[in-house]
Amino acid sequence: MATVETILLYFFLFVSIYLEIFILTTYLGRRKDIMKEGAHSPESLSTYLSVTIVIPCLNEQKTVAGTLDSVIALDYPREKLKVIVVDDGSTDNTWNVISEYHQKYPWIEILHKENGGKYTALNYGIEHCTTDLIGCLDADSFVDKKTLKKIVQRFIDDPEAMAVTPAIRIWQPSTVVQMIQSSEYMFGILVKKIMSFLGAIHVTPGPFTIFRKEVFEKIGPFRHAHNTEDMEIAFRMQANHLKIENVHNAWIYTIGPNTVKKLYRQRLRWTSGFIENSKDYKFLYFNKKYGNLGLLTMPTALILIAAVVSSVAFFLYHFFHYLFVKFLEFKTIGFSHIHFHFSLFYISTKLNIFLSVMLFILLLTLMIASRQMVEGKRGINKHMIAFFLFYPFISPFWVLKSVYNSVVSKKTSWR
Amino acid sequence: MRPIQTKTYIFTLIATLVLFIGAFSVSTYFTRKKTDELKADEDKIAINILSLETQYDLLRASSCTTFNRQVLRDALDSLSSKLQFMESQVGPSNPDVFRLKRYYSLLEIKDYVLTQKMSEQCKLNTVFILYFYSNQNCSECQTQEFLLRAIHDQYPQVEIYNFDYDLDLAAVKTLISLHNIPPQPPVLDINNTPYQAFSDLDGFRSVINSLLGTSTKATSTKTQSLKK
Repeated sequence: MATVETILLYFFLFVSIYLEIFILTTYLGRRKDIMKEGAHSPESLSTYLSVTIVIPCLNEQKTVAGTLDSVIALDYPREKLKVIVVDDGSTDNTWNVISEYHQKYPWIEILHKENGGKYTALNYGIEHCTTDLIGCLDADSFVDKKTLKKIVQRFIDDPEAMAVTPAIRIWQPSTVVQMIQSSEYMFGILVKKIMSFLGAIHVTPGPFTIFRKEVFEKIGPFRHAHNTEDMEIAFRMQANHLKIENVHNAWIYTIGPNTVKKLYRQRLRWTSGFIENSKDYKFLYFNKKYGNLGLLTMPTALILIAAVVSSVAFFLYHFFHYLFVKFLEFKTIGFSHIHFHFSLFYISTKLNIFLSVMLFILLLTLMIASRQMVEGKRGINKHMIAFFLFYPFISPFWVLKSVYNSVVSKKTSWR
Repeated sequence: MRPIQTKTYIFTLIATLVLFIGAFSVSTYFTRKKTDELKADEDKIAINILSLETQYDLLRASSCTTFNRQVLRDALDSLSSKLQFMESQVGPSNPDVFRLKRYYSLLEIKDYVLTQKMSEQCKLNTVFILYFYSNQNCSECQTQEFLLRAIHDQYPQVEIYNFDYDLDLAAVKTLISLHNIPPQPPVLDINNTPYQAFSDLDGFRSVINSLLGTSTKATSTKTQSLKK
């Protein structure tokens, strides 16, 4: 047991540190490009490609108005922009809300269909698209008015780019759970940027990824894909060697789950989606044909899931063993013979402690770099503190449940 | 498809290995510092024992009050717990820890022999427990350690010495042979009588009480030990 545990522990520490150094090395190597791109915001474009934004809705009466307001405010020629809102059988007031917008802004098209899931709503909207580019936008997200121009600029600069992902941030984080996500999303912006340099993006997020129309013509529409259609289409694009780019200053704001329970459900869906899609696209693993995605992104993501599972298993083993010993002690001699001596001597100096400290320092460095990249500020903020304090303790829950669901072939629900 | 950054992969591998080697060096440095500290403690204890032995040889029975073993006993207890901690950190097979453990066992035997002599000379009512444990497949050892801790706390007249039954040390083997210790640890030799594991504190106490000639629990303070 101890030997297996030691081998696994050092293997997982090695992979985690390797991944962090890989990201840091790539970041430092491309820092100038990143900063230059981050400072660039085109005032006008040489060509305004026509764009359709498809907004699928299911019971989004509270947030869809904000989403539409942000789309209306986009800095983009009206004649080149089309918006299609698809009501996927909402049972609340969503239809009335979007109808009001349609009356006020007739260029916002609204469609209604029976509930069939997000991917069906997206595909229904895409069927009505004739533009050069097709964007998806979740109805709980808000787009910055300059974002579309920045993304279209990337399509103009790089004719090979088949999809361009934005930089997603949490909208007005107010609860601790949202603060945790704010820090996590900020880190995600850096990681996504690095992955775009490596050609290894494995998800084209629901909030405002823009695709060339030919993507759907070449590889088909969105699929159910275990409730993670935005992940599956990225896998499919990579499998077909369609280039996915990222613009890290194309801001999108999304409303993060405000409670642990809601966050758990969302992450359970995402992690389960990754595991299931990984199974469906297992041929990508360690396949040089698919570049860094097959060699780095996917294997490390899977190894990190395994690391969480085994860490929890070993933690529980040691915790219950400790409880058992304490129970035995109490049963044998009671609590009156407990000795406690504090001495620096008893601070562990095992190798894994120093490696864990290095892992933490590297992660902190990357998070500080992300903050500088996103906010232009250095240092640690309260969102990072919340992230480090709570994320390691809550994330194992959805990882474990996802693995369990995968093992017993249990499907994950959307909400 | 973007080209695979072979150079980055290799550079990262080297950087990770360098980091591992660095962490390993730091860990080794601190572990070595700790074992050096333990070695220094053991040397101090050895001098302490030698000093007591010399005192004993010089004075014999003329003045039993001169002998105060409390400092030595505390030092041995502290060393024992530090050694146990180091064993849990680097494993019992670590050469440094193994060497320190052998040295510690020798010090214990020396202290045992000396204390036994002084106890006889000064007519002290002392009970000697030699506890033989094993780090391999000893399901009852944990319980014995709890019981011994309780006995140690309650009876200042009881001297406890712990020995790893499997330790490859001639002096320990001689002790095992002299006291006819059976080869199934845990075994407790109490005043030259071997006992197999105790299951509860009451049974253990009754043996100690009968040897001390007391019917109630001993509650005297530690300062009485060897100061009569």
